[in-house]
Amino acid sequence: MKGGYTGKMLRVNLSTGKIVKEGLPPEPARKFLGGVGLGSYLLLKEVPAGADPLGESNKLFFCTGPLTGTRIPTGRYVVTFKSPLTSILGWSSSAGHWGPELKFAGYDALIVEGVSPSPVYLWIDDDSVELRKAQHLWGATTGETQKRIRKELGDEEVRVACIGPAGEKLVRFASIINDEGRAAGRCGAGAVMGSKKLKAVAVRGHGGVKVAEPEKVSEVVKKMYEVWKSEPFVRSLHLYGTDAMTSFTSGIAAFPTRNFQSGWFEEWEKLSGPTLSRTLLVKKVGCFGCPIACGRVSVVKSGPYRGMVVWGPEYEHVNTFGAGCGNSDLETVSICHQLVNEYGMDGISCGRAISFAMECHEKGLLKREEADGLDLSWGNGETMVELVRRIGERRGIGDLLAEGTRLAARKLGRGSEKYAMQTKGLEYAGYEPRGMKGMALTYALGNRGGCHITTGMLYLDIGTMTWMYPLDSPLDPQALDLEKVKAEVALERRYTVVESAVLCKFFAGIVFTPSLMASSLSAVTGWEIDEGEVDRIGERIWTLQRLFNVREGITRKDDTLPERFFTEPLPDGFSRGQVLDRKTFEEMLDAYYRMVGWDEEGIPKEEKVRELGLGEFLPLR
Amino acid sequence: MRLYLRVDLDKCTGCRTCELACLDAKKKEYNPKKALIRVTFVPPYFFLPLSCQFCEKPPCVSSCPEGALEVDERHRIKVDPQKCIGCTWCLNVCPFGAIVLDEETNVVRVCDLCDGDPECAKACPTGALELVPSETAGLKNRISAAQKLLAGLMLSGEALKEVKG
Repeated sequence: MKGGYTGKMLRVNLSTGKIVKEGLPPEPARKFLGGVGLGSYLLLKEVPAGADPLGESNKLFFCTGPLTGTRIPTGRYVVTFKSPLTSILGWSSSAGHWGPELKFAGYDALIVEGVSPSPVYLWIDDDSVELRKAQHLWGATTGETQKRIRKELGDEEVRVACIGPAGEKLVRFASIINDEGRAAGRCGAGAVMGSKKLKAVAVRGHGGVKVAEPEKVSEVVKKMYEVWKSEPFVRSLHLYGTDAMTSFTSGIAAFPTRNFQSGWFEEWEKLSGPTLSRTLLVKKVGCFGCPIACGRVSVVKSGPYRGMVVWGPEYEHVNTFGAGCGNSDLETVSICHQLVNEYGMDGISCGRAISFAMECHEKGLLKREEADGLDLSWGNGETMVELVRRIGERRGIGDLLAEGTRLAARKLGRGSEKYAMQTKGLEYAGYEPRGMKGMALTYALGNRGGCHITTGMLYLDIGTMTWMYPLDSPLDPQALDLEKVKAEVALERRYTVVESAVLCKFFAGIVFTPSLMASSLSAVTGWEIDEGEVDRIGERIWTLQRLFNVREGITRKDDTLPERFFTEPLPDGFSRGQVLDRKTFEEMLDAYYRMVGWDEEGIPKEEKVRELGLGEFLPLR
Repeated sequence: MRLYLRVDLDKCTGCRTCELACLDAKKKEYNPKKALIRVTFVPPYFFLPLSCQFCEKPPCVSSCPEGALEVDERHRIKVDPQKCIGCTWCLNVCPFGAIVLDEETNVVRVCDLCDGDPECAKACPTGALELVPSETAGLKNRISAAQKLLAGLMLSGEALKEVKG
């Protein structure tokens, strides 16, 4: 390989303690690049059908991509696994500096398999790799764990990706945290780490990443800098963090409120990016090589948590712990944000679990006595903070909510299923699919469940744009038509390539054109990749992910959304009266399946599978 | 007149674009440990990019056993690759940890401010790095301090009272 890759993978078996350095297989690298592409390929190949996500046969694939560690922003890693929250494909990606560091240590990927008999952490110091005892770290929060490992190893620049108490307790949406507050948040990667008794992976690398054509890389860098400076949405991410989004979604009343009862939150301005900048913000933080610096650091100014340093808050938490729970206090949001980071769990799923409980209470399905005596009224900040703690520790009512809304509703029964706001078990982020109808497709079809970021649809649906799918004029957020289906198909492919390269969806996902994506990959790897092939690679990976899910039992019936979106029109604001039409939705699903070469049941057709070079995975079941 | 890199701590986001730009200019491999400017994270939430400070009495120069380092007329440290024996003693004595050993050539490297137009400062997306002459070094800090002080007065309404009498 000419550039971009180190050419090595690290395989660690926790059951036997065996550590092996393997060559990166060149053919899969060419076909699936890295990141979520390579991870999904390895997952389908190595994890048997029906594997218990929290059992010995599940594996974690930490994959960087060819662009990780170069000057093209930004250094991410993706961890792929079978999800304990959804029982299908799980992946989660995180930025900061951990991914590049793994590459500087000499590895494109780290594969973790087996289960350790006692808590351990992995210490990768270039060529020297060892498993160290972690009994003394078990129970520590993520911030504390990072600090103590750095101290123990005598190196303040060691990068640590770790789990907190939630991962240890197998909270089904536990996350992995690195670089203070960067999270591989979704799908429960932290619970898989916890089930393997792996507390952390600490990395220090002294090597570098070579690129095939340095001059061309410099050209790409120059071009993308020209674009990002003039792109208003990206600039607003710098100015206001991801919370900039609050103004956009609130503007069209698609800011999920009180567990998706509405898209209009009267007090949204108290939660907005400009408010955050004016009140709690103390610092903007950038990930490796990224000019945007959407990261925030805030400090809580009052109450029992006064002085708490918060690495955030991010938009999704502003929605899930804010409007989602009917709460307009940005300090409560910030406290919940920092607590979910410290416990190591996904704030989207956690926030939605809390609003699920609040709605069940409102509808009389969950009594106060059953909720440990907590007052579950909308917007009760004290209850929310307490619930975050109880979920992170699996204590009392928290034990039920730690299962995720789908399973919690199944256990609670009483018709509570309709208040679990999820697809395939993964809770929705802060975009209302009745007011942003393209998101209905993205949520329904996402290969990891109700995810908001597998396509860039959300940018189209707020009336802004993404260079990844250039349009002559903005789309109508409230339309669900063939234009949206076409966008869904194109964007899921291109965004999957972004997640395999591995680039950031705020940066590459908005300011890169497909042609810039192609030239980045070519310049770094030395392979000839054009726009057509970018789409081809994306299609291949997307189909491969679907194959994994089909193997685990997913069909058309799972590509859907909760009943609420089809029967309850939005009550207020710009989106007032908007609702999804069942018939149109099913027609769009048909159109989508036809476009991507799947049959009516959503199963990829054999000839399609072969055409994409995935024949080795046939027959499907 | 001396030039040095002024760092605006409020603006630095810790993104390490300066390290990457330095590598782009000086080396054709992305290895931050070889960059001549390095960003250090200082808890709880600060980042500080550090490079050669062009000391008036540089300990690296005075302690080099081979006399391989010298200060040129523009206060930059010059390394004579013929004389440098790669002993790394200068790494030990530099108070800013700003000297790097090139493991391929075994010669030490120091920031030369890219001939007066440093790539790191040009690349910094937030303008946190700026090449300034020593004479005006304190000026920006004074202005920003004055603005903060005045802003405090404005907020409390005292400035207004002053004006109105």
